[in-house]
Amino acid sequence: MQEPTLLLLTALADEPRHGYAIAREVELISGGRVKMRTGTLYGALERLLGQGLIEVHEEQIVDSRLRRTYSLTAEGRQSLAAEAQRIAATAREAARRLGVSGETASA
Amino acid sequence: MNPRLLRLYPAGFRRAFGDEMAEAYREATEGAGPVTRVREAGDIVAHALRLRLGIGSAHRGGRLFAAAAPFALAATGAHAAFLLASTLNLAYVTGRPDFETPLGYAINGFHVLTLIGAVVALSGRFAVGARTTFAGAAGTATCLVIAVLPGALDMPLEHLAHLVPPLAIAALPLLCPPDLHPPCRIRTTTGLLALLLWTPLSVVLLALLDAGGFGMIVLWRFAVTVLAALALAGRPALSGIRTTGRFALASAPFLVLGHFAGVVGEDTALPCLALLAATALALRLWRRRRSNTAGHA
Repeated sequence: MQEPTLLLLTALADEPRHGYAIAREVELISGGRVKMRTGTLYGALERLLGQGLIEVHEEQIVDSRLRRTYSLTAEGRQSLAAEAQRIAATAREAARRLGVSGETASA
Repeated sequence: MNPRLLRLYPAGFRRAFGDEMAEAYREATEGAGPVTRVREAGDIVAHALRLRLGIGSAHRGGRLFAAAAPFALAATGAHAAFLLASTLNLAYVTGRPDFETPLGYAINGFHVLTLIGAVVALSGRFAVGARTTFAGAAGTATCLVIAVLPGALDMPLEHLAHLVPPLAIAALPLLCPPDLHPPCRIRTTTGLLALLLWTPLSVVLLALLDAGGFGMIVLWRFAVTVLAALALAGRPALSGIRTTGRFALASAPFLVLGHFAGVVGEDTALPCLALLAATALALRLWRRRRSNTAGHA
């Protein structure tokens, strides 16, 4: 899974969010490293909607402007969970080999 | 948001996302300085252009360019490294540099820029690296145009035909949708600096290794740079090649630039095609093994 996709799905994992809030969360999660600008963000949202990983949660009119919030679909949750497991397994193995966990590293 | 920016988008996209994009743009630029505003506007223009051309990340064309981009960079970087190594090798063997004119120095300078750009892009700073690569290729093309101007180096006009393919290949990564950029391979600045230090040293080493006549077969010199570039692109790039179309688009830059490097021609066409077929088969077997392993896990 590419990093922008991982960050976008992570940004929606805990609650539905609208466009700019998603971009802010992505920047927060990545520690300021990844800044998704508006064009790129909506390109990614369109793609994830097409892939069925996210869906429109709610549509509201705020200050006479349409505001949509997005949330993960069941498939999006599964994909994100699988990717999180993969990353965690790699990190656990790295920590084990470095002996950080206190276990002896194999020769 | 300037309504003219929104009008750049296709009507269907504008209907679906226009309102909320305008709101997101307003929030992103509220209280922001001119640089942020220009960057946001530039991102919108680039995205709208990609959608008009059908190469957004939601389009098949966009995913095709995303899969091929690392290979276009690898081929462009390998080509630049090959040309630099060949120039240095000739200078070492003959005792005279072949680039004693200002234009010669400029061309080699742009080759260095192209190589550095490719290394930076493949190591993970994709956007800045891809632009640097293109700038290097454009600089080389400009020098070649100057070279055919009357009074300058007396180069034949048909050499201008050599400009387009390398420039087009260097431009290909710029079409990759930003949300499909290859992952960062080298995360630390120290690692990147070490790589940037080793790259020119490796080119010099390659040039010196060839000096004994061992490398009269120039194919091996190009193959070394190609393998090094592919190693830098790594498994993430290879795993993006899932269809015959993607493989063809990924291979084309190597064949084209190999031809311009003088190593892919009539007498080497058959071995090159055999090598490509073997690579395609190896890739298919590797992918099958990966999916079998994932299935058993």
